[in-house]
Parts: sequence; C-alpha cells; structure tokens
Amino acid sequence: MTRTLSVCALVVLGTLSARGADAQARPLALAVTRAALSDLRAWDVQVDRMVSDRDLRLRSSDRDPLVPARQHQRFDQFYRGIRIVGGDLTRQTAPDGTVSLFGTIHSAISLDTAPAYAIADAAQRIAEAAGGMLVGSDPELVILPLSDGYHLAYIGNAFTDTEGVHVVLDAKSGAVLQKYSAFQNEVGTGTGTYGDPKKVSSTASGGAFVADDKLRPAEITTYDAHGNLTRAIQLLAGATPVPSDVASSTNNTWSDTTVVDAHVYAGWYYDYLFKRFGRHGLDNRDLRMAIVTHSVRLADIARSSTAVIGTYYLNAFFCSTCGPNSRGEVVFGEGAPASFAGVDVKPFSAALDVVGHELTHGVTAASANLNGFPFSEAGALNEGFSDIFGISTAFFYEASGNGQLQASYLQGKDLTSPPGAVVPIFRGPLTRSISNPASTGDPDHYTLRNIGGDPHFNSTILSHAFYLAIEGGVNRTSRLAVQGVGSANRDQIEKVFFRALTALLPSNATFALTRVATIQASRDLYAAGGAVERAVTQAWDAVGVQERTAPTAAGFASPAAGSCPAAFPWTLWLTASAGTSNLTLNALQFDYFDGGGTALNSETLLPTQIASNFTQCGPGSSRLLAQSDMCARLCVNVEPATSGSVTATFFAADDGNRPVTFSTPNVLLR
Amino acid sequence: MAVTRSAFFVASIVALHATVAGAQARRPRTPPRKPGDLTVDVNVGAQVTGDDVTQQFSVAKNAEPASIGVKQPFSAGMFIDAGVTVRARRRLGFAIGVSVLPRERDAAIAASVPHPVFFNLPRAVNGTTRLSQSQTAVHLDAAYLAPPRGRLALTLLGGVSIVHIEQALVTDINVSDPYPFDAPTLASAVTTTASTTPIGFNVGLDATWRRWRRAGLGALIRYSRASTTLSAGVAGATNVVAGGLQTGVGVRFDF
Repeated sequence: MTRTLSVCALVVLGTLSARGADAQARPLALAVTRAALSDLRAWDVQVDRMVSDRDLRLRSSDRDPLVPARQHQRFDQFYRGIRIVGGDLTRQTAPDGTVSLFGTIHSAISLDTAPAYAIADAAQRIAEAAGGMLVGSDPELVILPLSDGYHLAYIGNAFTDTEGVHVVLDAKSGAVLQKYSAFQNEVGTGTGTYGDPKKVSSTASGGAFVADDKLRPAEITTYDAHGNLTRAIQLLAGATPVPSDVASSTNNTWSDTTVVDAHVYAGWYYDYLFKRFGRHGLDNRDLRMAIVTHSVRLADIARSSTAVIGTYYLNAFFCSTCGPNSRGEVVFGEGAPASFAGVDVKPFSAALDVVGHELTHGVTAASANLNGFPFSEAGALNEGFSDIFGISTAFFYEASGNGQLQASYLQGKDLTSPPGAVVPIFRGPLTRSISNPASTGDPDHYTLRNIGGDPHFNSTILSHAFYLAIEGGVNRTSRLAVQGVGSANRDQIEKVFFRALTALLPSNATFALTRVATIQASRDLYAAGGAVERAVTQAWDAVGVQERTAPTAAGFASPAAGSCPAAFPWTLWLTASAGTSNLTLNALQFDYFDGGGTALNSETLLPTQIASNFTQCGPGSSRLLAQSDMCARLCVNVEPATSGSVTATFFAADDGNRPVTFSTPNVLLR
Repeated sequence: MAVTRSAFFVASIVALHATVAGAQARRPRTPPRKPGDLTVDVNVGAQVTGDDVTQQFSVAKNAEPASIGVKQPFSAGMFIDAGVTVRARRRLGFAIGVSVLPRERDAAIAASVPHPVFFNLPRAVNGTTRLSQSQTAVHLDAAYLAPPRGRLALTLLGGVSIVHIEQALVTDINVSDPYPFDAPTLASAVTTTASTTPIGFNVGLDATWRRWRRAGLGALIRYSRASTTLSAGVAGATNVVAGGLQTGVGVRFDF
C-alpha cells in the first residue's frame, strides 16, 4: 500500500468562503497600450470618468526623464471613499494623448464599509497582534482584496523589540488577515571590507567630521548605533537623531569600514540612478537617504537571540516607514565571524549590489510601491527589481568578474570571503544567481514559482528574464533561446525595466503585467519591434510568463529536512493562480509516479481540505478571486519508491459555472 | 602696494644716479665738458622678447593631489627708461640706467582636478586669470663711445643688471563642480605676489642724433637677462627670467 499524501496541520487564517463580497466582484488586470488603440481610448474615457467620480484619485504626476513630453500619472482606486489596497493605475501620456494604462481595477464591489470598531480600537489591536507598540500614523481603513474576496480592514505598523511589523486586521471580525515584517530583508554575511580605498563625503561638525553627505542633491546620512540595539530601534521607530547618532571621524580619515562602505555605496547608488535614468534619488525628489550601521556588536553575536542574529547580524533591510519623518531607513547587518557562521561573513554594506538592492526598495516604495505583502507576485517582483538594480549598480561601477569587488550576476557575492561561499549555518550560499538561478536553488521559470514561500526565491523569475534579455542564452527549464542585446547594451534593458518599475507598474503587479509593461517600455524608449523589444519578449517567453488570462498552477518540491513527519520526506509547495475569472475550486487531484514515470496512485482533496491547506499566501478558501493566488505547503512521499514525481490538477468552475481545469507540470521529488 | 614699492625703488636709484653724477662733476681733472661727456637719456619703448612665467604645482583637492599648471606667456609691453652716460677716458665711459616695465597679462591655467567621489579619475579644468608683473631694473654698464659721424653718436653698453621683480603667482584654484561632477569649471584663482632682486647682465646700443646743441633724439636697443626663483608658498618655487630685448626711443640731453 502506497500512502502518497499527508496534509500537515498549518495555520488557517480567515474563513473558508468569500466574505461580504458580491460573488461577481472581481479585479481586472489592466494593461492596454496603443497596440490596441480602441481599447486604450475606451479605457481612457473610463479612467477619466472614474477620476471625475472620485473613484480614482491622483496620487502623483511626474515628467518622464527619458522620453521628452511624456508624463506619468498614478491613481489610487477608492470605494465609497475608502482606498482599495492594490487598486491603482498608471497612465502614460504624450502630447497626442494617452500611451498606456497599467493597473488593477476592481469592479462590482458590494461591501458594507462600516467598521465594527473604531480606529483607536484598531490601533490597540494592531499593537497587541504585533506584540509591540504602534508607530507611525493611525491605522488606515482600507478595502483589502484577498484570494477569497474583499475585506474591510485596518492597516497599521507596530514595532517589537527586534523588528517592525505590518498588521492587517479585519475591520468587521477583528481577525488578523496579514502580519509580516515591515523590513525588506536581504540575507548575507561578511566581516570587514576589502581594503579598497574610497572617498567619503562628510561634513565638518564640531571639530570633527560626520557621515553626512551634502555633496549630492539628496542628503545621505549614515548613523552609527555603536552596538546599541535599543538606540538603533529607536532610530528606526522615528526618534529624532542627535549628533552622536551620526557616524563620525576625528580627522576625516575613516577607518570604520562598515560605515565607509555603507555611506559611499549609498552615494554611488544615488549617482547611478541619476546618470543612468535621470532620476533624482529614491523618490525622484531627492529624498534624504538614511542608513543605520552597527546596530549590534560583533562580539555579542553568540549571546544574541536567533531573531536578533537574523535581523541585525546576518541581514540587511529597508523599511519604508522607518526613520526620521517615517521616510524610510536602511539597516546593514554586522556580519558574523567564521567561528560563528563557519565562514567569514562581511558586514552587509561590504557588497555594492546588496546596498543597491536595499536602496532599490526605496525607489520601489516611492514609485510602483509593489505590494509589501511578501507572499504575492508583487512581493517577488519587489525583490526581483531590487536584485536587478543592485547588480546593475555593480556593473555600472565595477569590472565584471567573479572576484571580490567585481560585478557579476551573483547577487551578494561579496558578502562572504571567498566570494559566494557556502555558509555552513545556512547550509548554502547567501547568494542568488540571476544567470543560472538553479545553481542557488532558485526558480528560472514561472512554473517553478512558490508564491507562498520566500519572495526572494520567486524573484529570480523576473531577474533571470532581465539577465536573458541582456546576455541571451537558453532557459534551462523551457529550453527556449533568447537573443539578448549584449552586455555592451545593458543600459537599454536596465532602462526598460526601470521604466516599468517606476512609471508603469501598479502596486499589485503580477509577472504577467510586468511582461506587458516592459514590452511597452521597450516601445517607449526604442524602436517598436526592434532588438530590445525582441529580447525582452523572448526573455519573458523563456521564463514562462505570458499574459494572465487563464488559470495556472505551479509546484516546487524540496527535501522536507525535518519540517514534515519522517514518513514524508518531501515538502511540496503548490501555487494556484487565477486568470481573468473568479474560480470556485471543487477538487484537487494528485497523481504520483515513480522514478521511471510509472503511475503509482492518485489522491483527491475536497473543497474543505483545499481551504484548510491553502493558507500560505492568503486566507484558506476554496474560492479564488481573479488575478489572485492561493498557496499550500504539503508533505508528501512516493512510497515504495524513493524518488519520483507528482502532478496536481485543480478542478474548478468560474462564476458562470463553466468547468475549468488546470494542472501543475510534473514536479520531481528527488 | 607693489606700485608703491616700485616707485620707492626707482626714486632710490635716481638718487643714486644723482650722487654718482655729482661725484663725477666734482673731479678736479675733468676738462670742460663736450657734448657726449655726460648725457642724460629718457626713453620709452617696448620689450619685444622675453620669457614666459610658468608654474607647475599640486595642491590637495578631494583627498588627492590636484596638479595645476599656470603659463603667463610673454607679450610685448611698454617700458620707460632713464639713464646717465658719462665719458671717463677717451672712448670709454660708464652708464647707469633705470628701466621700469609694469605688465598685467592673462595667464592660462590648466589643472587636473580629482573627482570628489572616485580616486584616479581626474577631470581637466582650464581657464585664465589676470596676473600682474613688474620689473624694475638698474643697469650698471661700461660704455664705449664710438667716434661721432656728423651728428650721429653711437654708444655700446654692457654690464650688470640689478632687477627687482614683483610677480603675482597662483597658489590655488577654486573650482565650480556642480552635480554630477562631470563638468568642473574654473571659478577663480588664488594668487600671491612674490618679489626678489636678482642680478643679471645686459648689452645694448644707444644711437643719438644731436639735433640741437645740447639735446638730441636717440634710440636704444638693449638685451638684458636675470633669472631667479620666486617662492609662492604652498605652490612651491617658480623660476622667473626677467628681461629680454627692449627697444626704445627718447631724448638726450648733454651737460
């Protein structure tokens, strides 16, 4: 008897059915360009009408820095005066009219917008849910589309002893809908720097020099918490800095390599944005850049908690609501000695691509504002764009190569010495390869996505497409070839992806929407149908991303390594993604095969079992809203075989009760 | 201030002339003077050749040495000259002359200024600045008075030149370097005035046409040269060569 599937007990959020929403309400992914001129005109009129009705409200309007006479507007969608999270839209205009519209518009919503409790109550509940104190402004009442439907919700931020936490509460029931770290982290290691001389832009103050860059249009300030984690957290939580918080040198000869790298690389990143894209800093308005170093002492690492080590030693993060005036702050971890980590982990400011990665989160927060919820395609795109422009920053300044202080497609290479080394306490490298994602255990194809997992993991679908568009080559999964523009023309692909990020994409963008946006950006900047558009289109084809009209499913398996019962050695991650229609899932069938491809047996989950297991990226439900994802983590085996494969097939119906069936590719268990 | 010092120096030399001339006048064996025994001449003219003033030095900018080159090319300048020639014995005599050459000329600055962000990424900065220079020379010469040809008298001169030089030198530059630091320009030059008094030599020829009994018109051509080193403080020392070929015309008075 072969037992092939075991459903592990996982946390179930929310209820199993659509809540409070009209069954026909659905999000519509909008990606219309002049390639479909009549559609564009019709939607342009519709957008103007929604603006007139105050259903869409202008958030920003910016001049195009690369294409003369172009303008970019961003709108947020409101329902009965309440903002819809992820309901936003970008409009690109030229003197002769609208060029493109990208976004997500929610229609036919029917929702009671009276919360069951007041804002003050919400603040208290958010603080309790986070186990900390509320920071920033009052919680915001919003409408939150989740995979099971629309929720009236409160959003707020709190701080615990070790991190900022983003909390979303159901404004009717008080249930926690989402809770995740507000820090956008990058895992890495390092100690010290590479002895390379750098120029430090400082300011004379009180007979000494402080790491306050007034050379550039945007002020860059690097703080030194002197190993005082309490003070570091106060700075993150918005405490007004005092002079002693700013890193300093008595004679302007800076010996603190962590400070030097952080401060200098931040300036380089500002310059990269300006010189490559004509952008003025993170928000295009020369927003001050604030950096915190030395939150902890290296000597204290062995006495620190796992949470502190994971956040302030072996990590770097950007927090868009932290720092003075809540305008964002970057923290670079202290690294770890070889005696602790098994290999020397450098301070996280030692790697230019890591600094660029974190600061790109600041650009993203000030532009597309890609969904902060990590377990979404937008969350993965957020990380992918950060890798892209972190690596691109390195290529802008450094010669290409695999050595220290050389630019490569291995994100975070310089966090360890030797570069890209395996870090024993992580059981692997701290790097991500965007040229060969499989080499670092990351997906190179959309069918390998795991939206319920680490967003850094899924990010390589985007960043690998970026790589292929530049360098060309064959995708290892699809075997599709791409004719890249060549490394000498890398600036073209950088500009295309940067334009998509900063001007075209809405906050809850999907991979599919990013495909259309980058193709549109290619047409905006270069000849339509030319080498750039061809490279970008081929790259998206190669990584398996097409426009999201039909539902798709993806599976990814890894050794369970103790996270499942011993009889089930594999963890199977499943993601189901709806297309343009809402779906009701009626059954999920697993078909197992041994290593030779011989069918072993099948097992079927019913709607209630689907609801109780698909809780990794949203509330457990058998209902799947259009353009949404649902995710599960399952423990499986293929006894009596020791390795094999599995295919998952979803049986669903759309709102018109038409049957819809979709499957994962065959997922290898080996 | 430089003008005042030059004027004082000239006044001192003229006073010295007067003393020397007086001493000659009191010599008991001196026969009655004939035209050409003691001649005072005053000339105006132009210095038509000379040496450039160049500087090459480094100052610290953006945490690296910035090399700065300055070149004040020679250009013709007006000078005034006054002197006394005294016959001592037959065709031989001596002469004392003073010439003043004030000038202010554009100096070209060519600098290599380090980048404020990166090492080893110098940017070229070029421009000009106005630099003043004055040379006040006292020429102490032996004179050969050639036999007159009618009204024309020629005198060959040669001897030492004591030259007081006041020269404005560049010690630093101010650079306008707006973001993104790709196009720095020269905003201004920081200068100092250095002075010294080297000794050199001169040779010359004076031609006098005695149009009247005790006066005439004359022409002077003189080549002088005196080299020295001027200190510009932090900008280091600079070799300066004073003098050159001077040509002038003027009046002659016999006593």
